[in-house]
Amino acid sequence: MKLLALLDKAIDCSSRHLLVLSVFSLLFFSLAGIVLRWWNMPLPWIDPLTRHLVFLSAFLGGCVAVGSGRHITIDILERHLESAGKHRQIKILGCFLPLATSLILLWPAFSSLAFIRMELTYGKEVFWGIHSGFLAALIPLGFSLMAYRFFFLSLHSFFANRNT
Amino acid sequence: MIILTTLGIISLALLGVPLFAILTLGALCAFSFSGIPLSALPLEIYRVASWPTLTAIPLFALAGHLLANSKSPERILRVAQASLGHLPGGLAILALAVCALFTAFTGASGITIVALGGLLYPMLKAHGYSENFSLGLVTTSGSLGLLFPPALPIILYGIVARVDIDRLFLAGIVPGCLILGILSLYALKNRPTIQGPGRDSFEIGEFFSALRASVFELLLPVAILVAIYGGYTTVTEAASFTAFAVLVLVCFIRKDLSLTRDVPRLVGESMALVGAILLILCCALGLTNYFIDEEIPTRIFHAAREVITHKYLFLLFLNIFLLLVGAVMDIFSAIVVVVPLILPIAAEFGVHPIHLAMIFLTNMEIGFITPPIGINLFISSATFKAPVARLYRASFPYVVLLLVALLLITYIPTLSLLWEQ
Repeated sequence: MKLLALLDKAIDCSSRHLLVLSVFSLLFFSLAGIVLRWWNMPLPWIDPLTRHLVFLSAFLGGCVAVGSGRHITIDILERHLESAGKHRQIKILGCFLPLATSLILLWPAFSSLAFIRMELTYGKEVFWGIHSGFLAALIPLGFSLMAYRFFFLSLHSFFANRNT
Repeated sequence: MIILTTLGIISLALLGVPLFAILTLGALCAFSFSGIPLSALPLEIYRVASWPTLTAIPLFALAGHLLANSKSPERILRVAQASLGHLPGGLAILALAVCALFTAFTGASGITIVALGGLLYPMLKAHGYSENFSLGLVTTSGSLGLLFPPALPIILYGIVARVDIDRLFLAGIVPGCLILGILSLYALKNRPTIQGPGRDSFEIGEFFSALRASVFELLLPVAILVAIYGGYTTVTEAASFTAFAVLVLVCFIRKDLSLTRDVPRLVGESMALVGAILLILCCALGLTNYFIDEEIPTRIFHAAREVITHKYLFLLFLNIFLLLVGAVMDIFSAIVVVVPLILPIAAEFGVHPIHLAMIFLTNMEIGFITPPIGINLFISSATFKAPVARLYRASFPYVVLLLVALLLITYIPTLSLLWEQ
């Protein structure tokens, strides 16, 4: 369990650091792109780079959102249980929902592998000589990391409930 | 099998599985049943990386988070209080305007209630406003600026519905001012009859001092509008400049936040929200495109056409439907999931896409404070330590007033289409 917790913390910490780097790069390159256009020196790689930085930020932000409970849900049942004071049911949901989410996310992670193979065959270089197949790998990587974090959240809730 | 799977997915959604996972599951199940290769989903997701306006979302969100967590709310409230705080109802009206300004930047993520409500609530009470009125006002204010530029929901709507974002920014100004006007009249009606100890007299020195202190924050929305509509920048470029200007303002000019300590934390917070929104957007693309390929909106339209024969009747049913959606769904997921479905139906009934945008966003604005599960009610309950049942009572008059505004926005299209004409 300690090893799993350490891995979860490492994912959270590295996602946060990468997010800061990604957002500052996004800001820098988008401003640089505008200024260079004003001076009639446009760099064609800036646009795809900034768009992929947003794409990367979406998955990194998604990873961070797992830990901070910021993912958007329709939590009618949980609010109802909360107002009814049914804490036992809330605890059960606390274990079940992250586990279900984790299992769901493994499906797109695996189905993305075929897309990457396709992209590696038919895709093209997007910027800095990086092939679209490698950039598309952000999709299974992002889903897998989130799946792991949801799995750990479920385990954590289970052991926390058992101890109380 | 299809019905069972659909019921299972809906149950998981109602239980509280994150919406992006539900949409992914829905898309993958739909593709499996239809024999479409599952790689179509990542293909749709990767398509998002080619949308040029996408950059505006994280940059405006960052600017909003930085502003909300700096001392800008205090500075703007100071200038508001110094200018009209001494007039009857003045503080409440300015509270509405200031909250609208902030929500336009923070995108109705509840930050306005936490950042500004905490300051406004005691101020309103000190000025003699009743507890219920003050609670209702700060709760409602959390979603008040959704129609004003550069609100994130407008940008997301523009991306999803493929409507020019700059046209939507302009279209929101009149309906947004109408809502502010109606709520301001209510604030005037409920002004305290007995002068509270917090009400000061007008002092020109304090006014200019407060104005000088908050001049950058007050000029920011004006600068964005001038930059976009003066033809100097696109929406995305305006987002880059806004984020940069706000970063320089709060870290180097005002020194409210530390670049090394506070900014990385706020980047994490704002991007967690952006990540949650963009993942929903990415994952919904597969499912909504499947619906459109299967001509689901057309089938709904033909079914509806048998019952609903007139545009105005359609708008009435649309509002009822959207109020229900707004009461159970978050605004960002509602935009991504519902807009692609209603857009073609509304077009068949002759509703202008920009008019539809304003109707949609106003409904969602009401959804934030609609009992029993409007999210602002819960944020306010946690922030002000008030029971949710009390917030239901406090926000009820505001829900009624917003419904009046919704009817006006729905049945007077000119309000939304003034700039189009």
